[in-house]
Amino acid sequence: MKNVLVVDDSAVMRQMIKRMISLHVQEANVIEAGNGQEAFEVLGQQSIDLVLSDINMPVMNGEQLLEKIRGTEALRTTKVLMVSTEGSAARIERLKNLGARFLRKPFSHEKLCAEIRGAFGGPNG
Amino acid sequence: MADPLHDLLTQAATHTLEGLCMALPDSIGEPMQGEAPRAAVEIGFTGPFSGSLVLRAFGSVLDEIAQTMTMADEKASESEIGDALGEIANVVCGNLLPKLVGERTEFDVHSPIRVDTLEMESTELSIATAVAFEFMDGRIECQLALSDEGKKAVLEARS
Repeated sequence: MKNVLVVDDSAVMRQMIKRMISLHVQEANVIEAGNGQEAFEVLGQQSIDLVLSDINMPVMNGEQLLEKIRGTEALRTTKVLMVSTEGSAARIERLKNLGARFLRKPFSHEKLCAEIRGAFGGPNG
Repeated sequence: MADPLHDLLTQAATHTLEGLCMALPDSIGEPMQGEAPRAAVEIGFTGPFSGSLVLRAFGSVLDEIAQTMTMADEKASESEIGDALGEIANVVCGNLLPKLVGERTEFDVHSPIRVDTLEMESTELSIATAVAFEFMDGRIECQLALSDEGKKAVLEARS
């Protein structure tokens, strides 16, 4: 079983993503966090196979979380999928340069699950 | 004469309602005056210029949309209903902004806040365009407000 950490300040989005994963990616166990800071604390406490994070969040946003993950020796190779409404090509380019995959909202469960399976089976991030 | 801002807002909101909420409107029209909404949220953004997007839901359509989004059998709670409208606003905003002045432009999109009044908080912004989506069980209205600088930048970018 793979641990997927879903990071989003919207409880409704976390629930939607959790339901999509539980219905279509049987080998995944979902853990939730409401912002980047909470997610970073979870990452320090348990083994996470994939971080699936929103970008625009209070306290610590998704881009800051990604930078912290890449800057932490023990977490550096953690796979990250950014799931966001972010439309700026410049920001998406920065995220990809930090080794993150990117999926734009709104998305179908097919696209989400394909990205998750790709992250599980593919190269880092 | 076609209003490009109106078209862009309509496209971004339609794409979001269909893609995020599986909600297909029966018709698209203009917002109405005076009626109190079931719920309303405002999401501000800053960058090369500032603005805000206000979403107002009327009737029971938002209750059904929230239940669809949570993919739950039971009805959505009041908190989930507000959260769902905030997320819809967030996604509309994220899809709209790159279309206004180009995809390389960066904006900071703020967290959505619930608003109780029909009046806008900011006096520096004015309504740029608005659209209403009619459903069998209610209506969702989207209103984009921009600073004068923003309106000018959008017109220049699209001319």
